Amino acid sequence: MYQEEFLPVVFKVELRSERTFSVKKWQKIIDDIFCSYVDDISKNEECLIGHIKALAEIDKENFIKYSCINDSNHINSEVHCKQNNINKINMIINSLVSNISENESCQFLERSCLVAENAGDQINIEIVKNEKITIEKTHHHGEDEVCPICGEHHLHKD
Amino acid sequence: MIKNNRPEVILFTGFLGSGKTTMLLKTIEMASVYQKKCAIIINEIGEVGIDNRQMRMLGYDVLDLFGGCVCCTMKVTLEATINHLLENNDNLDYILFEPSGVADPLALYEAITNCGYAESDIQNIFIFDPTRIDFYQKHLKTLFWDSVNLANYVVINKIDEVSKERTEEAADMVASIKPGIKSFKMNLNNELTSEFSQHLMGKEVS
Ligand SMILES: Nc1nc2c(ncn2[C@@H]2O[C@H](COP(=O)(O)OP(=O)(O)O)[C@@H](O)[C@H]2O)c(=O)[nH]1
Ligand SMILES: [Mg+2]
Repeated sequence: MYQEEFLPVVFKVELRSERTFSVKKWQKIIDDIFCSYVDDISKNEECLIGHIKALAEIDKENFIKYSCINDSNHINSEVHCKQNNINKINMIINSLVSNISENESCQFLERSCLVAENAGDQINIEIVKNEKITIEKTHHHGEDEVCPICGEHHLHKD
Repeated sequence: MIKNNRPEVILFTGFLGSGKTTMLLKTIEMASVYQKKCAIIINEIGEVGIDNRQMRMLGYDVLDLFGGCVCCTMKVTLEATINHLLENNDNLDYILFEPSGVADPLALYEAITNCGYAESDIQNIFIFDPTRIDFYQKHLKTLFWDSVNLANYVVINKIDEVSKERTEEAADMVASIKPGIKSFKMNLNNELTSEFSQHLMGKEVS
């Protein structure tokens, strides 16, 4: 095996609640989501976690960063936040795991989010899938244009 | 085009999740104590970067390699990005570069030397996460070998998460590939050790 096998899967997740919760509470909610997501992934021995990381954005300056490189007992999170009570978080997840399809990874995440929704806090979670994340995904030149960087024609799969 | 007092390039290499971003952030903080000006380049795989967003939220300016375009070889975009920096900044002291954790460290050198740098102008710090010793031994032997060989020194971090024996084992693995290379053992949740800071920037303390 070599490092190229860790293909990135990107998710955007929008979390909302009717009532406001403390950042600490949100941290725990998201932590639980990752625990169950990572547990699902770990059930397949073929799947090796390269790095699952996420940025949960509270506003332009405040965030919680998550990181996991082995199992659900070791999910790191760091809070950079001066705010306290919030009812909305936008999160980006970068999941680098070997031998898992984007689809399967998404199903695991959906299941984990569903568990969180049903935990009784009346939160709503929406996963925006990779193909719908268009802004940052664009290439800087069209398939039949000359690449402005190297000045040559090359395909995006190169 | 390229000035004699080019900013030094510091490369942070290491596998996914090893601690490159953490190390880079600590280095920026340290550089500001030394009143040094840094530019940051980050190349993450995954179309939506997380580290670069985090850096921006912390108030830092980051150049990601052209919006994270995944098609061009990183080599070419890196070269263009470094040239762009050199042409538009007169007073930079350092270019801090975090390549993706799956990048082949060898491929980076050519891009940097194409910008007029000698290989000896590049400081390559390999961040070796000792919690992943087994993973490296099992799955990433070539990457480890290449990384250590190219590195100028090694940071063994996360020492707060492993036993002393494990940390020593990590140091031995490094030394067996490149005897004599300097290893720094650190918990990156704390400040960078003064020994390390001096090693990286000490020569230039005014
Ligand atoms: N306990 C501990 N955690 C660390 C240390 N260095 C990095 N980390 C954590 O390791 C995780 C991955 O680090 P990151 O810098 O994102 O790795 P990268 O993928 O190489 O950029 C983060 O949660 C960091 O807080 C360390 O020395 N000790
Ligand atoms: Mg990083």
